[in-house]
Amino acid sequence: MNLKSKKLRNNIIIIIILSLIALTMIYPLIFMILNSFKSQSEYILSPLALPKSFFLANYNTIYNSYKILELFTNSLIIVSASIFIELFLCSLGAYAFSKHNFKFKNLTFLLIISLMIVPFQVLMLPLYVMFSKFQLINTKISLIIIYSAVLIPFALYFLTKSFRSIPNEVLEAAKMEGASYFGIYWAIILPIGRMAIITIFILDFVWLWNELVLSLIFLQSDETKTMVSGVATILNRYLNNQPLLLTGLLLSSIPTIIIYSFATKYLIKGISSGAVKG
Amino acid sequence: MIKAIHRIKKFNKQDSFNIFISILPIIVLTFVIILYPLISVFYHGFTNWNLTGAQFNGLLNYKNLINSGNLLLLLKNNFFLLFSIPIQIFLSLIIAYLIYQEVPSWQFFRIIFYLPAVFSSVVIGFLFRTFFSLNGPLNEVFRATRLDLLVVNWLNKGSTAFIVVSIALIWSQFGMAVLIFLSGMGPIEKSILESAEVDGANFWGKFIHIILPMIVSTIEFYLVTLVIIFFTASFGFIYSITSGGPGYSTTTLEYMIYTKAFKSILFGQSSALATILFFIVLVIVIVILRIFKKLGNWEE
Repeated sequence: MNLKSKKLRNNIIIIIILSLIALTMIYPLIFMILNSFKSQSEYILSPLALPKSFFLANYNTIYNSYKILELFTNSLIIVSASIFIELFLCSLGAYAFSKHNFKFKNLTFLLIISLMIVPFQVLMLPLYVMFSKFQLINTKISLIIIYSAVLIPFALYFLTKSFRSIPNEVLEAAKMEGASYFGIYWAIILPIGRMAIITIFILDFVWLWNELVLSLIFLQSDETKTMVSGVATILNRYLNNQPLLLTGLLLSSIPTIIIYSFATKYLIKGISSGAVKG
Repeated sequence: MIKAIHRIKKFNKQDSFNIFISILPIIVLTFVIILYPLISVFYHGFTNWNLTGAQFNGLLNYKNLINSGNLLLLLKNNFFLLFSIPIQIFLSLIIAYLIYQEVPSWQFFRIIFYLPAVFSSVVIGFLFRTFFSLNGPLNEVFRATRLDLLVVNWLNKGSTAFIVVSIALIWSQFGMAVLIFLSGMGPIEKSILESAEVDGANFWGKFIHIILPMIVSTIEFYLVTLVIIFFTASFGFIYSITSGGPGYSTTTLEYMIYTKAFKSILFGQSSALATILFFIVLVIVIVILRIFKKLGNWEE
């Protein structure tokens, strides 16, 4: 066998293997979509078949009885506010850590990023007690503060590392022309470092949107819940109606699927551009 | 001249004030929301903390956890989950290597494999629960193909329920792993592989002798992440697949911290468990970093 046909054969085998695995990656999504159009009895008879008709009762029930739009708004407010605070504070901090010298710089930096390894399950009880003292349980503020804080160590590490690659000459030239400290941050650091900021935004959006344990603890009444914790608790009471459950799960994933569909490109670039190279 | 120096000094003073302003918020936030609760948990592990207050009771919480056999059970469950890490790394390394061959449409696969990462643990958990339930699709397929032998009530027994939780965890982390390993393989010069091919290295030989040694540091990074994930991110999966049951047979350390604190209202015991979890994660991170440092030195 010559080299070329051997290569062709190899490629075909690889594509077949990859396709099979890709199918297991994508099938659950298809499964949710198909079954969201089935009634309960149809699902029990044939969970794997195509739906017989375009049955929308599940969507109706979820929209009317479970206030899915409210849950969606809650999630959106909490997630965007947390990420905005996190990115604003971390980019400012990363600018200071990467481009300036000051006393105890390395010590402070190491202290903050080493907090990365603290699992938040360790923190949740003291935090709960702390926030309930201030009557902040069942408020969005509590989750926004906690989320933005627990995301800081990794974001600071990531942004500092990427801001370091911004050439100092550019900053000095701007300084010569009279740009202020925050002027340089706004006009140079943010635009040049935007790839890193977008990467963190995507990672954290998906992570926060899907976060469960903290939102279960801090938002206990049904109307304050986030989309994921709401679907988890509300639908958990109606486990027998699988199609309804699957519809809820599907709806709660739509925002992250949308982010995914146009942001994966950035994410791949961001991750490959040195964030994780040892 | 003196004026100029004076101006520079003034400028520096203002700069250091600006630096202070820029780092103060992150220091305050992380210290109040992460460091302070961490110390609080260490302390309260030695108390009988509950809704009415906290009194120091020495090592009683830890003794109770050990004597009741609870701790051992939880650790056993956690280590059961860890067994899937080698499988996870092995599979994703191979897939990353296959994608690295850049067969036609490789970019498409890279994107598809990342899809599971966008679903929350709840979605994945409920999906797997649906799939593996007694009358669920998987058992239906087994029945239809006359493989009745394989029809198992997966979620009814600790050991099989754990397999379901492990598969869910592996599935959810798979795309990220492939992506990270690919990014490690990216900088490797294709010419090295080609010359190895001329020397007679086969497909897997190239993988073992060229690719693997060059991405050791990437594997190290990912292994640390994955161990932490398996110790700290199983909550959603366990919550939605088994709720820790039957009994406590699928309850991990992390899940028990939640149960003790918010179901049994035993804050002291929960704090003791949280302390243990923190130190386990800390030790694992240190050990893994050490091992890989040694490996790295040995390579040089």
